[in-house]
Amino acid sequence: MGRAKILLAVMKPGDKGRVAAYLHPEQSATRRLAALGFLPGEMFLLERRRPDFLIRFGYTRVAINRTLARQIMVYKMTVSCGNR
Amino acid sequence: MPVFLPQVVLVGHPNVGKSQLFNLLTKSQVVVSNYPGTTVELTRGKGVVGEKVVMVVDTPGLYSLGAISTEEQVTRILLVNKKPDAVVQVADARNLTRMLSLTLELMEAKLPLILVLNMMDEAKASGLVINCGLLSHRLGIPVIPATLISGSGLTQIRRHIAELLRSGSRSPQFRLETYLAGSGLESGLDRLASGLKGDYGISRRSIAAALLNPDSTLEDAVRRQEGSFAHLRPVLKELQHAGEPLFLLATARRRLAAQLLQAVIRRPAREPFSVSEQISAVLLNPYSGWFVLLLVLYFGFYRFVGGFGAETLVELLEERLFLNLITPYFNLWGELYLPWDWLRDLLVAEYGILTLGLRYTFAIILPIMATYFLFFSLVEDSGYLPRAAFLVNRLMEKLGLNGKAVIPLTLGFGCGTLAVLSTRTLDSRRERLQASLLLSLAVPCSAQLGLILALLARGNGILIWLGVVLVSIFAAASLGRVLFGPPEVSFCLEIPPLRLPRPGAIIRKTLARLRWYLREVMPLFIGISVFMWILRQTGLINMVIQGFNPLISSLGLPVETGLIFVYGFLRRDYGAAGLFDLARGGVLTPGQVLVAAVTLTLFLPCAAQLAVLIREHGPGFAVLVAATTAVIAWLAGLAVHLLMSIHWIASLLM
Repeated sequence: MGRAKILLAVMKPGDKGRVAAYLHPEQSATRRLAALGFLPGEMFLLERRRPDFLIRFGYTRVAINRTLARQIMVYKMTVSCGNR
Repeated sequence: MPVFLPQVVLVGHPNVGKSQLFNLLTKSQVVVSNYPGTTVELTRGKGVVGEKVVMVVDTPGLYSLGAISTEEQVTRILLVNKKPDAVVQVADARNLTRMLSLTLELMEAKLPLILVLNMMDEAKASGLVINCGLLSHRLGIPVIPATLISGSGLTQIRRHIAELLRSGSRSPQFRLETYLAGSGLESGLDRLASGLKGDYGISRRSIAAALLNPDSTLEDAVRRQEGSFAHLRPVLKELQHAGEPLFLLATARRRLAAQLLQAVIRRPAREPFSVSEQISAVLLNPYSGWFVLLLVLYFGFYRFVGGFGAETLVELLEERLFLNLITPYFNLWGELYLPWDWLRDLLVAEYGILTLGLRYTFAIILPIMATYFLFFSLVEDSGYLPRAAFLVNRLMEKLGLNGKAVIPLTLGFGCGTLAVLSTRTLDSRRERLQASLLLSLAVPCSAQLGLILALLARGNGILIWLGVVLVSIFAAASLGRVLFGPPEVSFCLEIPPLRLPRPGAIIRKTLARLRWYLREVMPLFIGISVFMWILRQTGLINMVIQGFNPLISSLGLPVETGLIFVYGFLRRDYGAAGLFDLARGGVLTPGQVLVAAVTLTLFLPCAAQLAVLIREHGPGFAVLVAATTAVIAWLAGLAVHLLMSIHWIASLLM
């Protein structure tokens, strides 16, 4: 599998990814996420996408809303073989 | 004088145990909790380190000196203006890479720095092995392992602070060039720093970095020191246009941190099974999570605070203790020893400070607030609140807020005045204003809620009341959107690990909050009682009530109810209690009770809350809130009044 850049918002629960870039790095929510250490290069696990997105990286867990999830470009690390 | 004591400043990410260390160093009892952003102001306390008395300062959570939130700005400006003699960064040992980014930033600031790795017990439990000696060697500052909740590591921390106070040595600095990928940012910052002449608490290089994301307090501080700001602008502009400088810096620090931590941390091959992770998953699942949330609200608020606190305890204290024993005693005492009517009126009459003020304070508000704080502290310490915030975020977004507002809004059901203070934990001014508006309009405080529920419990009045209140909340939310601009659309919130709350900590925290409440909010209440007495003595109250008459009669209410609204403004509980008395006295029809209850709920925030609104957001905003709530309250009251004229609907109340 080639490592294509996708939006975090299209990942499925259980997918692992690596942060590639933020589309709006100037936004305060993006900056906060960056301050939490969620920076380009960071590996993470998408735990949930309902009711909002829940990501885990290292020992940090962060909830992000749909809008923010649509502003983060990621490399997907594993191909999920879920039924959806 | 405290000013001359050596200053020891505690900094660190939210929820890493700064307040725990503060308590250990000062033996005082500041509120410690497991919710990011609990300390919204600086807390100071004296402590002894070595042989010296020092002033320990606890600061709100700080992610970065590129301060995004107001809380962070509080800490940043403290470091800029004051020259602390020692800075202790408290860090969560499990999250070292992330914590170290802040350490590197504090080192760039050339502060006299100590790094404390807290929660070593939990790190060990999750299989992490950390070589503190190696890390200390690489950083060039003391690194101390600790488990502050049990006090372990404290002796070492004290020893290192004492040593730092003696030597006054500052931390070394790391250069970030190699990690900035030739962006020229480092040299740009150097140029900006060389344009600075002032004497700051942090290095000029850090001032330069902080200026990339300035706030008014920082700009003022720089202008004060430099005389002018103009010569800095060109370089600053150039830097800001070169991509996202704060972002680049954060990434660079992160990479440096990862490199420094190589061979410092040994991670387990597989994560050990953890019960708290299993519980956490249940709480975060939208189905089971909502079920638990409803259970928590039902048992916590409705049964414990509403039932045990507001009914059982209040009855015990008010009926048994005050009405049967204390109040008759005061009345008798007043009649025997107070020859002047005006003084009797002030102290022991129907609305006297001793008979009513004292009774309300200790027999009604105290038990309600005590049970409320106890419940809230328990929920807060467990780490449940951010999980609740995650679940309700989408709902809150419909109100122009986000999940974080769950704290002020639930606190609002305890005491609106307290809740407005807690809006400080929200990220933007817009959100703080929006939450304050909703709190002032439509979140009834416990004093009011209990009485209104009791009043409307029979029949279906409560449903209509709830409906109207909900509609008003959404009306106010839309109004806020217009007034304060569109809400921030992207949102993130850290979800800290769950923790088993410690009974001792919960009780200490509840007591500390109650003490705070009695000290900060009670004087406002007593002052308002005196003000009410002045209104009565001078006859001004009648004029005010007459002013209300047209509005009152437009809602189809008898003129007596005017008093409820005036009292309701001065003291929410007096207003609700007045309504209760009128309703029980048979003066009002069920329809009128409902109209009055709806209007009183939405009507002006109480005087204490208004005072806090002025303090937090300025008089302009307070006037705006007052006007908005008055208009919406009147419109809602009118709507219910008109509904009541439809026979079919009115009959539902019977």
